[in-house]
Amino acid sequence: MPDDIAQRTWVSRVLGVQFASRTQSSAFAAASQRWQQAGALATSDLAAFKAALLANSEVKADPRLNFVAASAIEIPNMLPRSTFDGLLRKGGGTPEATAKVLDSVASYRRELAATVRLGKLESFASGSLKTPLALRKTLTDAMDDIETTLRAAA
Amino acid sequence: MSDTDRRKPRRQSSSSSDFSIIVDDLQGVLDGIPDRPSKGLMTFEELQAKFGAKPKKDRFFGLKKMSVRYKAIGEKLQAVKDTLTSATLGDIDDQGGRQNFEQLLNARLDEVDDACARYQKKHKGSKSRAVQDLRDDAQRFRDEIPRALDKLLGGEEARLPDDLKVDSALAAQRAGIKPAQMRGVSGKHCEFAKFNDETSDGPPVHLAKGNVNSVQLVSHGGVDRVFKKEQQTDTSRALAPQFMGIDVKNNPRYGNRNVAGGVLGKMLGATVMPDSKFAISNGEVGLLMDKAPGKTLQKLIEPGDIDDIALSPKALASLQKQLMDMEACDLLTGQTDRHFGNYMIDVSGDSVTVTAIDNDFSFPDPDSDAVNMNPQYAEIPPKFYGMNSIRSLPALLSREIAGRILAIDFNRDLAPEYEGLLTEPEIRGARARFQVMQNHVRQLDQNGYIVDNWETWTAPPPDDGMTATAFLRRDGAENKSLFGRDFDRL
Repeated sequence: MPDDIAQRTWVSRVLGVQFASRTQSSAFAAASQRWQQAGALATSDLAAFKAALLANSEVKADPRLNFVAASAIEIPNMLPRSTFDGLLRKGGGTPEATAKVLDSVASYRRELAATVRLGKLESFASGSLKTPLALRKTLTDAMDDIETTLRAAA
Repeated sequence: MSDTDRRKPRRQSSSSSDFSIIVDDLQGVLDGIPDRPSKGLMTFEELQAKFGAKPKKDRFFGLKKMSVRYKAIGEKLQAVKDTLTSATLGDIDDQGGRQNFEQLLNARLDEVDDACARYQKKHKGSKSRAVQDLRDDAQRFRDEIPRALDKLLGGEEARLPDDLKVDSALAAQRAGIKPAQMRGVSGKHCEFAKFNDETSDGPPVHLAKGNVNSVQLVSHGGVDRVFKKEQQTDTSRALAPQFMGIDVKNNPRYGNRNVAGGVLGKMLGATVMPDSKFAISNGEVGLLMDKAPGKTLQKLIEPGDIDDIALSPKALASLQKQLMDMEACDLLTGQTDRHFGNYMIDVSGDSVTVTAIDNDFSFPDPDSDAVNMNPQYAEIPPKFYGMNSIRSLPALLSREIAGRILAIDFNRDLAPEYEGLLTEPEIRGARARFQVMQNHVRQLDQNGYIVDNWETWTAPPPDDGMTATAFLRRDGAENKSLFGRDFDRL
């Protein structure tokens, strides 16, 4: 990226190239970090849930334990995959890139809300297993923060 | 303990405590976790087996009551069974229906428990332990009901038919029957609780294979019956069903057609039509029919010839009567496949039993393209290539069946019975055939062709003096009676 402000202004005006502002770039970095942090927390919560499930005395005593253990392998994959973390990591910070990330965040919100299984998992964790799991809240809070950060920097 | 406390659901019995409720709950979250093995409520017969004795009969013309407490348990178990058979899934899905149902069922289970407790007060030892097993089982059953109903009434996925009785639905659930297996099956004619893999005496035994289906022999309580899996598609390439407008590709509903034939036979008092219902065997849904005695006529003539069987006059008369009953039923059901391999004959002295089997190709659809485009297919009876039933109205009929045919009001008596089994056009077609048959019976009666005694009956002019045998076999009668067609030299 050209350092000289006059040079950047010329490139932008003459060649039509949009440069990321420093504020936007750092917002992308902060947002990416926030999402990675939320993802790590959700993943570790899921791992803890899986461990608690397989350690539960009732589950251990049930003749279907082997089936539970085999099915539990899928637990870490229950979170829908987001596309915006890739966009955030790529950086950029142009208004177009910001808009693209915000669109992607909105789409992930919808996907998260529509994942009935995740809701059932949380209900099961707090109800039957008595070990509350707040996956959707963790991810939703992170998305709120990301949106606020990106909008403030735009 | 107060009465209220006693009626609270208790903890699960030891027999089911190995299976965790948490794992049951987990089934809704993770795939691949099987249901806990389950079974129906212990029956009174099972309790008697544990006892090793049946209740004693009352003595002195019922003045001295015997085994009162023991019999009371049986009565209370029957009340539970009645509760389970009196409601359908649709009934309990209605507003407030489930709550009422569960309250009633719990009250009935309480009565079983009370009857057991009264028995245990007077009896100790092995009999008391057997009764305790029943109490535990009733508790296990009570605990399982809410969850079972949750699953049966679950709204997200396709579910079992609304007209299925609760006891049948529970049996279907235990057998792992999927809603797709119920396509084309009338729920109200399912007797899954009575006839399933838990209640059968052993695994099914292969019996025979036809063009469309193979059939198995299954036994319940020592009674043999024939089971035919319900086919969702008929891949036999048989022409008759296509000419009749039966949806061979998507939903032939052959089981329903057979049950409807049995319904008609029962109403006419015609024992030639076997009683049929739907059952579960080997994890499949299918038609369960009373096993007909004897052999098909086709098999009967293989080793020698039925002509060799010397039938007594009484047996011959009985054969003729039943064959004509079958013709009447075939005409009324629109049956088009009554070849000599599709009915059974059993001869024992003067006694003959004729039973119609394989009533799949019946109840044509008058609105179908095939029937509409070919006027001869719509005739009563229909005429088409491959039509194996008799192509004319019955030449003779017994007084009994003629009387019943005239006494029946189709709309009042038969149409409601056919609902759920047949489509509206199929019922309409059946109504048209019934009207034709009623008119025909009146003409037969007017002209002297209703038979009171098959041994002594003689034909009116112009066939003056002909016996029933000669009349049914008269010239050109090949397609006028089953007797003339299939027993021409007897």
